Amino acid sequence: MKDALLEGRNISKYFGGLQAIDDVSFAIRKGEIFSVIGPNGAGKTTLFNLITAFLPPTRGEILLKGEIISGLKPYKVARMSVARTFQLTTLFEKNTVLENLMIGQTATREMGIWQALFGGRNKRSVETKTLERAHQLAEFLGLGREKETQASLLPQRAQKQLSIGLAYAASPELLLLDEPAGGVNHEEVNILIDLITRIRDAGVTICLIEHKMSVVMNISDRILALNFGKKLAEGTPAEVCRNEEVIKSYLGDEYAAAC
Amino acid sequence: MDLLLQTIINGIMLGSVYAMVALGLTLIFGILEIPNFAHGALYMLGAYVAFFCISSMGASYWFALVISIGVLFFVGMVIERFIYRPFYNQPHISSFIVAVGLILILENGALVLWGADFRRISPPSSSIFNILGITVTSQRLIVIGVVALLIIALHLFIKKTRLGYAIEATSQNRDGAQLMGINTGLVGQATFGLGTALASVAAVLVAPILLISPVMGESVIAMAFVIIILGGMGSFIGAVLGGYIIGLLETMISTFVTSYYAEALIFGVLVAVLAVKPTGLFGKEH
Amino acid sequence: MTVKNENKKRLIYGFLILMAVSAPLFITGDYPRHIMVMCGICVISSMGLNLILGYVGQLNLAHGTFFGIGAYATALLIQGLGFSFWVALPVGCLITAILGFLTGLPTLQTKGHYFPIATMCLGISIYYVVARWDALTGGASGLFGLPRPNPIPLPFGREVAFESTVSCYYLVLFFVFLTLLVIARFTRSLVGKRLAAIRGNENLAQSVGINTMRDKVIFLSISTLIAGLAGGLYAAYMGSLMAEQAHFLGSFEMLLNVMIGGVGTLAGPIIGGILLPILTETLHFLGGLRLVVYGILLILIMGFLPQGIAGSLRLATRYYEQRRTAK
Repeated sequence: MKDALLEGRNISKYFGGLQAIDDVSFAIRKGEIFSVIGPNGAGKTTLFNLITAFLPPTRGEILLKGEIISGLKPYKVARMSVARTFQLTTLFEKNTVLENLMIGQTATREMGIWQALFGGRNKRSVETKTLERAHQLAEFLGLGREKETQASLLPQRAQKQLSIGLAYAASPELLLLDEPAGGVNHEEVNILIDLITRIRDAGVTICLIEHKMSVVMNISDRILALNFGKKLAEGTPAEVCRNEEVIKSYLGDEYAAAC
Repeated sequence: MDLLLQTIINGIMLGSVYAMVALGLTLIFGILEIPNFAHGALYMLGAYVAFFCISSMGASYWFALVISIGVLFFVGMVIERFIYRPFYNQPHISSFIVAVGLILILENGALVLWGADFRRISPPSSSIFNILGITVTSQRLIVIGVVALLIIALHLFIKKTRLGYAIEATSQNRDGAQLMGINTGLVGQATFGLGTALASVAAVLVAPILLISPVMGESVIAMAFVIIILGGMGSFIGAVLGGYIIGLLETMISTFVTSYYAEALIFGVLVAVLAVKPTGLFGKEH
Repeated sequence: MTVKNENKKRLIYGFLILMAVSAPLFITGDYPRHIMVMCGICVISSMGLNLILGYVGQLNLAHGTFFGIGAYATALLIQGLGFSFWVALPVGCLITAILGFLTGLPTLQTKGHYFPIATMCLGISIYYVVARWDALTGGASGLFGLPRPNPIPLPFGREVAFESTVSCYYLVLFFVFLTLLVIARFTRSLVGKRLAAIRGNENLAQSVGINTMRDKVIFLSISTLIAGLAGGLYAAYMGSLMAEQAHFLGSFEMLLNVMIGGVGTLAGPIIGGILLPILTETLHFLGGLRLVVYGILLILIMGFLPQGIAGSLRLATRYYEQRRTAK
């Protein structure tokens, strides 16, 4: 695909004899919200792990802006402007909200040993800017009042917000969110959807794994439907809803209602 | 040729000791997922318990062996329950630090009680055998024979008995085993005791040959870790095969290359292997 | 942090520095002063261990071995190659750092328990190498007859000599301040935040683009360099070395220091490093039992006061402050 930001070509992943992903190809366009749906065990998180290089694919390639990234180390992929959250909310638990938001920024990962030891005015300005940006991010996320709170003490909704913020802090081009609305109630879901759309409006391409069909159908530009590691369909919400394979595989009221 | 045969026999003997120690260590790791750093110190304790029985209570060698096994089994269970278990929900590093404390207590306790000098246990029999032209003391044959029997017995125990089955199930999937009704806490405790007892068997068996000292566990534990890392942490066969191989290797190097730095060389092998295959040769990905 | 608190802190620090610098005025007698020098050396070594354990989150069970390597390297450069102390010390530190680097490369790669295991094995094997390599290290009997550092020339024909215990105390104190400064610079910068990330959750740190392996290896090297510095100072001060100095028992005692003092804090290793030589002296009558006590102490600390003295103080002040602002 021509203007694809991220492309997966014939990706397969085997764990011993178990086939987690089977010959899946897809493309994510710049600026869109792209959702990955499927029942538990369909391979969605595995796909994320492949994209972010936490796992190497058994076959196939993953390309970011035309460059192959499969087979690199995870931190290298992250430095190529791909960020992610984890299904089980993962934060730097012993650090405060502000500290988490400082850690996520590029300035933190880039500060050299030499500069840390001998840096003068330059170093101070970098650190001041990083702290300022952490404050701004906290406000942007809606965590203005919890800035000094330790991450592990935050309520679930705030933890989800912070984990998104942690990934967003490095100004990624592509943001992968693994069940960002997991475990939060109805009102809180809307807060998170609002946050995700605001991030998209800031120019970030978003790829989403989500079970709540209403959310998916509402905000997605395009959807990838998986089952048993195989691709069922890829297209707009309307196209995916009409797809026979998808209809056959996804039984259940929630799905029917959303479509 | 004679020297080679002698070296091989000594290598198998040393390998038996290593296999037994590594087996105990790997059993414990399989269930509790923490490497028991204090294993070497407990090995040492086993030897001293037997020494105490023989020298202060006049017990026979075999009786002392049995007592040592029993005591160490009990000590192992106590250690798991009261020293390691409180730290299970903490990061692994806490268990390591606690183990260091244990090592300090055990090694220096032995030092205080029995002094730093080497101690001797007389072997139960001083017969000498003539095999293929070389002389072998009976104790060496006892070590090799008893260990081999124990390995077979242990294998049968794990495969054929209910407790053995419980141990294997718990080591493969703790939550699953719990759902099946297995008391994983008790199983873990018993396994720790078993692993510790195996170490004491090795120590008492080899004591008449290699002598006893408070620091006798140090190089043994280092080797045992090398073995189970190479053979795969948690792997029964890895520990056994690895034990014999490393024992032979170390003895060969000591005899034919350099007696001083055999251990360091083997450690270098570990580093090289780890750099290439971080999960060891037969490793389970924990 | 309010301005009032900042100033209070500065006053306390200033007072402590003044105490440290003027200590020889109050503490007289050669033996207590000797303990002071040992405390200083111990503090330096503990700061090194605290760096890798408390800030990076990796347990180096061979820290005492690196102390020994630094000691022997410096000693051999002075005795065998005729270097002046002032050259031998930095070179000795460099050698130790390189060895630390080489140790870290294969062993810090995999996450999990390999690093502590590998360092434990390393500690054991290097001790045996040092104890047996008679030609190089003098074997179990060790090296002796090392001279004190050469005097430093000053303007106007004067000089600073290091024959007296007090002069050695100030030399060690200088390095204590230097090491403290370096570590504080790191931990208070964004690099410190990075280390906190690696210590907190290495996978997560990787996912935000942090090259965790690089930082782990670099800081292990720095931590071993510090151990080597302490070792080199020890060698030059004591004038003699035995294989015992390279025994990983030293690692265990350092571990106790760091845990009692407060792992992961700046003050912790200072408190622990001062405490331990004093404790060793007072408990000397126990003989070997002293180490048994240390072992029990270590387990108790892990169970009941894992943050150590400094860590508990920090938690207490934080709690107290939050209660005050809440009112």
